[in-house]
Amino acid sequence: MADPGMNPGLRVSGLDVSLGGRAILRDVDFAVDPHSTLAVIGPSGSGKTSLLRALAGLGGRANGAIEVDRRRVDALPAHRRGIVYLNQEPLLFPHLDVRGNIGFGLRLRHRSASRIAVVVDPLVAALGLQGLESRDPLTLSGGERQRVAFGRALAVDPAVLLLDEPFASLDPATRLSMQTLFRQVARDRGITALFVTHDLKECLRVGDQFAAIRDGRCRVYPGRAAFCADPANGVAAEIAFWSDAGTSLRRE
Amino acid sequence: MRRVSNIALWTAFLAPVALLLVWSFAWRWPWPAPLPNRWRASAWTDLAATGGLGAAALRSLGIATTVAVVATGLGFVTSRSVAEARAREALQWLLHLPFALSPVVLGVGLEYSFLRAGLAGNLVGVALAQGILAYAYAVILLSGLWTARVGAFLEGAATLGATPRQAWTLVLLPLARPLLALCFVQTFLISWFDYALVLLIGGGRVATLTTSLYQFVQSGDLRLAAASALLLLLPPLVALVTQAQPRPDALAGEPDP
Amino acid sequence: MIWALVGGPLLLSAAFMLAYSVGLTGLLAHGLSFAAWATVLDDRVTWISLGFSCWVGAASLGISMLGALAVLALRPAPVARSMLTPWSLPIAVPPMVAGLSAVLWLGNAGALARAAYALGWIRRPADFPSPIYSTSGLGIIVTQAALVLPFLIVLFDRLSRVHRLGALDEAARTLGASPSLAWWRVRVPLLLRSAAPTLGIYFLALSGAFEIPLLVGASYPTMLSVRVVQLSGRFDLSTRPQAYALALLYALGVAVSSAVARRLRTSTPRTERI
Repeated sequence: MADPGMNPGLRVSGLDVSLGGRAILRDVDFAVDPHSTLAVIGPSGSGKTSLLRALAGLGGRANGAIEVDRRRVDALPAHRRGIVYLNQEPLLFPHLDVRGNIGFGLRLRHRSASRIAVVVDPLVAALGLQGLESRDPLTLSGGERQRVAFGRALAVDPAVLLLDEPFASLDPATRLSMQTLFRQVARDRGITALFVTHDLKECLRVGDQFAAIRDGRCRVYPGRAAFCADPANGVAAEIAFWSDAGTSLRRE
Repeated sequence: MRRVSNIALWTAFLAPVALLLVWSFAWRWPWPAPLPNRWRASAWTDLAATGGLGAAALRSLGIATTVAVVATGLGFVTSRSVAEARAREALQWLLHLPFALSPVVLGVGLEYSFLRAGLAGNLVGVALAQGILAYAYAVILLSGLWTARVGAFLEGAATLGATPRQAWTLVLLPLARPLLALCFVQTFLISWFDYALVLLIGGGRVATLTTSLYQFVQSGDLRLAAASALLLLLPPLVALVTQAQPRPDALAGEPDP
Repeated sequence: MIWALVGGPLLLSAAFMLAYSVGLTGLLAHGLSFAAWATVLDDRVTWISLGFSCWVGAASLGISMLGALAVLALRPAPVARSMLTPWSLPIAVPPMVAGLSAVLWLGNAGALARAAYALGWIRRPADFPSPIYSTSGLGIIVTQAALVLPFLIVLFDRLSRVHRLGALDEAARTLGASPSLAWWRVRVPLLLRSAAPTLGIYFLALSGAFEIPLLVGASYPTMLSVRVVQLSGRFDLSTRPQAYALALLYALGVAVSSAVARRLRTSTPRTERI
């Protein structure tokens, strides 16, 4: 595990988040190392989405420092932060095909068609979307849509990627394969990411670093072992359940 | 069964159109002849001359296009503040009123103030009065656009680096296009079909297709009345044919009346 | 800003009508007077017009509702999606054209009268029982019912699908209801309940119609909207204050009833709304 103080990809300090005058999170402090993923677990309604939206600069009120690669971004509007927010819903633009969706961010930056292709083609391959390039997003399956949304986010080479339970609405098998895909692509491309989820196994699968949101606080753990050792995260209960199940199975 | 009912539906729609067509060519059609005994195409061949029908059609077209462009444009820009207003329910109620009221009452109410403002008896006044109605319709229809989903689309575009202007031109406008097209057609038709406001605000000095039709019926010239009616049916037919099968769009919203 | 755009014209015209009707403005203004209001409220014709409007609205709506239910009963296949949405009611077929067509088909010298002559049923135009210009308003009612029928079919069809009435119908039948019982006890009541707000708006629009009554209605009794225009006096200015008083009364009635309808609608559970 890298030293958290060293050249952090994303650093948040003393961040208070409120929504409609109601305090959601207080005094959030954490740093995500470059090229690694901070997995944040928290129950529904704990403020995970509010935290991501505050980081991305979308609505709500946030006070505190947000730094991306040592640059303060908290005063910047969303489109100038270099932080891409991946919604739980893929939200593919219905007026563009798969290729148009993935290349959308590059079109915003006035890249030529050939330079867009240089970025988009490898992404299409890496995400297993070959053959679907000119499909209408409405005709894709849930997993395919989520992969396109993922590709659209990666195409702009974001400094930080925020993922808001992106796989929550997928069936278990697709979900597992998407988690694996995310791990692989994140490692290959050196992505700095913040991944929030309410699912313990997903949290353990995708994270390099770990944090939990509970009661308006964000608690960061020094490592995987520390995360698992905290009974509030439910790892011990999970292990106990499966070992009991194993014991009774063996008895039968 | 299905085919029979389809044929019945088409007949119900086409038979009146056919009768209008026959009447528009009927030079002499005394009772009780089943068909006209003298035919003439002059209602159509002399469109520019006969009773000013062609001129009335062009006037209707000009007014309706202006009304549709302004109402749709203004409605698009302002519908967001209606959709996001705190007193949205009250605003929606206000917007529905002119329709529930029957445009005649609106026209009678506007007549005197338009007269004093010098807007009675001319094209601008008629277009403005119809615009009030069309604008209300446009806002009702287009406020259905500002769903949480569209908000999420715009936010998604922003985090990908879209400036507010790019978010409008590259995301919002393409998303809204089907609805804007529908809005344009409907507001065009509101103006195109309107009789009451032309009568009251135009005060007899503005002749459109609808007022011409009524004039021809009053003077007993059913041939030209039928021709006016067919001209009136033309744009809605074109709209039906071109818009009959809208794309199954996740955003195709309709206001609930 | 948005309030001024949306409410401004309505408020302006209401204010002008009020001022005119009580003699504060206009060519005949002689200072504050409620004479026009008294005349309107005292006039039998006002109440006859009101009653006639309600009758025409209710009858047109009733007939087209029965027609739409009948079509749906005979033809359960989904109606094609098209521009024909219920909301398009005021603007799909021009009322002027509908009125003219009614005259050409149903008039004493119309297509049906000629057909009746050809079949030997009648000898003179006057023998044909034409509903046009009838004092009962039958011509208006028939024309409006025909105009609204397609929208009600589409509305009912869409509501049936939104509320999955077919599944509820099946559920009722597995519980032992006969098909006709399921239709009358489950489908129709649910359909009418969820369509009620839209039907209310249709009723208001049909009672306030202008062009069709103008073309196919009798000269007496008249619909309220026609009465207002008559009073507003293309030739005689002296009745104009009465026209404004009547128009305001009418507007008030519509505003209150539509507000009540909206309130009722928001108080019904969300799933029941279309």
